Amino acid sequence: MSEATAVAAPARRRPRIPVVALLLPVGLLLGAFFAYPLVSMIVTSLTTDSGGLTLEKYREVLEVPTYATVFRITFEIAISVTVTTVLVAYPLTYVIVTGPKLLGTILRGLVIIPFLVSLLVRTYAWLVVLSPEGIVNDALESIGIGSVQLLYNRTGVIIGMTYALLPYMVFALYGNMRSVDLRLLQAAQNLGASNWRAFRTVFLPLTFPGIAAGSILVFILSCGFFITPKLMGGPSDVMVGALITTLVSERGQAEDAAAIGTVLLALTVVGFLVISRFIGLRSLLESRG
Amino acid sequence: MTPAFAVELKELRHHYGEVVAVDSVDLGIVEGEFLTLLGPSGSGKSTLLMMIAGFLTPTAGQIFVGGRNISDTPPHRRDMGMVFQNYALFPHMTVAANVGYPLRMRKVPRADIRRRVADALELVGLTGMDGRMPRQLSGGQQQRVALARAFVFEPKVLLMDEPLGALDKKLRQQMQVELKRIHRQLGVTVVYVTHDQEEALTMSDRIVVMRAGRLEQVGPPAEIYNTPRSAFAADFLGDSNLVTGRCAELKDDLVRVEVGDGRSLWARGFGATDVDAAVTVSIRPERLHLAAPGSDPDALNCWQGTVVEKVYLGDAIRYRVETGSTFLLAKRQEGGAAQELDVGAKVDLTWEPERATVLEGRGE
Repeated sequence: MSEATAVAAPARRRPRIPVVALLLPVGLLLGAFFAYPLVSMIVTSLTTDSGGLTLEKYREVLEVPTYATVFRITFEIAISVTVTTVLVAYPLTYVIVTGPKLLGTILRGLVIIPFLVSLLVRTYAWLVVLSPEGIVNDALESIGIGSVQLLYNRTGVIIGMTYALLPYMVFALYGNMRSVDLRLLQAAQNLGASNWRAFRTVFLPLTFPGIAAGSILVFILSCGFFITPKLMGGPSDVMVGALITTLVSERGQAEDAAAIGTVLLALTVVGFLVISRFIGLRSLLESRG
Repeated sequence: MTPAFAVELKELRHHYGEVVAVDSVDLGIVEGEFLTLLGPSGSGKSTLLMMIAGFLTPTAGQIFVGGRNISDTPPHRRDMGMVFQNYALFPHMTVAANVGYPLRMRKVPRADIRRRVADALELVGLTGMDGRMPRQLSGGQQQRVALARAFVFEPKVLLMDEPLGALDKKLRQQMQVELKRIHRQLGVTVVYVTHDQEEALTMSDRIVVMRAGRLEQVGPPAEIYNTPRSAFAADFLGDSNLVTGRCAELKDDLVRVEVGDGRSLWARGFGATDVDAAVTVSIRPERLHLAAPGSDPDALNCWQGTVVEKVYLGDAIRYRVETGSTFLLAKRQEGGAAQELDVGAKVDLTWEPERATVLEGRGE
């Protein structure tokens, strides 16, 4: 093709491949590994041993106190982790976005690099760091606070999960904070707002969408966490993920596990809706400009 | 002893690393005047404004407002309203909340806020828009909100950073008129930054032409336009013919300048010119008359030439005339009694000596 025609026809025509064909790979993937298992799980949870339809398993989920406790613990941990992740990620991301460029680049790298290492390895690393003889307790002892139990309890789970989920929160906040025009802060200061008031009245409200998006993401991921609580938590920190594993692989109660999985899914959807109702949707809509 | 300057800059400098953005600027801004900082990008006009607003710390020098040194005062305590280039309206607040923002920061009682916001919105012609969000407004309306927000708290000084840059020409001209009206009504001191010479000429009480971080020329629009002191000022404000030559004779206010090809011209010399010095003379195209050959034998300045180009401008026609070894631009109002000239026509270019100005410094 000559240059002249290329210039004359800037709107290049797309090769005519039917949309259906383009979506086929993703359709097959999701169908085989997502939709089918999901449906299969729900079906399993609703079937009796003899193949009939029943809600028996759901009654069991609601009635067995252990199951209810596990759900309560799961949501307690998920909410705590969501809160601590926001508290750690927000100031960090603020520095990445508004601070010196080089510092921002370095910090961003530090957030991303752990992603290249398997979560299992990183969790074992935490076990070393937080152990009674680890550097954290050494430091605490040297400044006179004394040794603190940081592992095999709720604190350990929250530290481990906050760490594991931090990058998701940072990414959600980063995209949002980058889109905030920093000249708005100058405008606020010019109009009489101190640094702090400019932040509180302008920057913070404009980053609610990022907080909401990150919280939803972290909350949902937390609900399904399984390795970290198992390795870093105590005996009373059993989350739904661990419960399901136990039921399936140790006790052969696949139907119970399926019912619990379905309930978890439903509760997660409810949690998602609640979060987005409280801090999400309105600010999501309002900051669009 | 000191005149009552609203804002005074003393030896103000700013460096970005090695780059000097503003170089030792001394400037007094009179109470209530509309002062425009005019210059191309990189001339330091925005840097100067940012230092006055407090967003940039001067490398050296002081800023006084009402006689008080505010060089170390943080921006939020400088009490200056600013209109930003992109308006910088708070997207999550209504129009009323945006305009009321500076009043809330100053803890003004709520009832007063409501009244003053309503007054400000009325002044900019946005009554009834209180509840709108910024994104629901047109560019011109956003501009008015930004303006109302900047003056609602009665600041000592109103700073504007190319506020009309994003508007189309028609709206821009309309807003120029409105800005002037509001300036008159409020009587506030305005420091206005623009690179648009037309905007500067129509709105300002005084213009500061800036170049490479320095003040090139300061004065009322007509003075700067009619008697530019440098080739840069002459060229930046409107079109200008720049003719270089050698100063041959001084007579009263006038100077006779010999141009290389044996011809000479008379121009205003401003007394600063020595005989034999190399000089540059600026002549505005509209000051050059196109006369029929030989029709004005008494003219002090008369160069014969040939029309080589003709450009229709709507309200005027601009001719390019070859005369001797130079080309001069001459502009003539369209629709006058004079007959339109065609390319190739022989003409006499005449002008009054007072309308040509010898510039400072050597020709560039």
